[in-house]
Amino acid sequence: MTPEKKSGVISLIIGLMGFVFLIIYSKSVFLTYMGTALFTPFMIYGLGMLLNPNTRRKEEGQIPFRGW
Amino acid sequence: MYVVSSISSIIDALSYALYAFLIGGLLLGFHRKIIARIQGRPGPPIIQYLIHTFKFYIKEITFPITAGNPLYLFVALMDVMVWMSALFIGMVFESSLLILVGLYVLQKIVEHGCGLSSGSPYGKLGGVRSVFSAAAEVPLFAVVGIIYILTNSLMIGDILNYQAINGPIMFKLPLATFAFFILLVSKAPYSPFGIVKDKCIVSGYLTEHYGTLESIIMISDAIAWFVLLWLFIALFIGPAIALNPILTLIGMVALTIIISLICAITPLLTPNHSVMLQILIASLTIVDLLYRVVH
Repeated sequence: MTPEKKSGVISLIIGLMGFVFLIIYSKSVFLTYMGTALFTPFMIYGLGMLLNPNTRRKEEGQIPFRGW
Repeated sequence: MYVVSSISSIIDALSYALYAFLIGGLLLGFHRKIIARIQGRPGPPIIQYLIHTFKFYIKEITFPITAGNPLYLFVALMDVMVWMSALFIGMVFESSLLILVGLYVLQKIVEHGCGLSSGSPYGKLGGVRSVFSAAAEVPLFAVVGIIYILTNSLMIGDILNYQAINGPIMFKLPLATFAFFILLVSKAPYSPFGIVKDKCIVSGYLTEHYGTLESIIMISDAIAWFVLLWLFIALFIGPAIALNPILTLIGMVALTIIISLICAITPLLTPNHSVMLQILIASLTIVDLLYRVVH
């Protein structure tokens, strides 16, 4: 798994755990809104990484070779 | 019981954020269109900003070798956190103006973080210029002080109530209104104060944030544009417009047109001129604040 994909999966897990925590434990509307602001970016990034095409890089940190 | 109300609050919050993103994105597209028309070009379609955001969202990203992770990744996410929080604190809860100012200052950390974590010389220059352009925030503090002296409160709800009784603050505090308007101009793309995204340093702090990360930053920029326009309307024009969604939209379009005119006909200032002008406006606002404290 590439580091990019790994970061996306970790973000998705953090986002999902955050939302589950909010749904179960949050008793204040204000905290729920702020929690949503905190965890939504993780979900956006995680979903975005899942939608990304598979990398064509051979080695880490190098862009794919596209010809001379 | 808590579960149902929490889910409903989360859906409400996400709906607000989506609304702000769509409206902000359309306004930024409209901004580009007006600039193009003034310069005699047809310009991109108004939905171009949204199209770009969705296009970049599904583009591959790579972490540059020079990037300092996890900061490189986290600053982009932090940008959305900052502006979603500002949206909820300002528009939904009509809470403290000081928290909003604090969040606006956090935006600077995002700019520094983006630029410096990437390891790119262009990004670093963008980050350094972002430090210079912190001069744009000085009038913001003076504006907050003047508003407090006039209304005796920094809660946005109280400021709206004050205006419902006494009329728009815009006519009572023209200099503060002007200073806040300059802040809006500074935040606009292609603005004369936009030294952070100057084309001579490629894309400034955004240079190494591409693909999904750029899309995330574009989402937060759209929300930021919506929040800043709403804040201007709420603080200076009053509840008659700020609490009516249709009139708010009309107000935002009008403000975007005025700012686009300024952006279209003014060249980008050099960093020292940009800072000098902003400091000058800040000084005037601070003099106004001191005058009001004494009298």
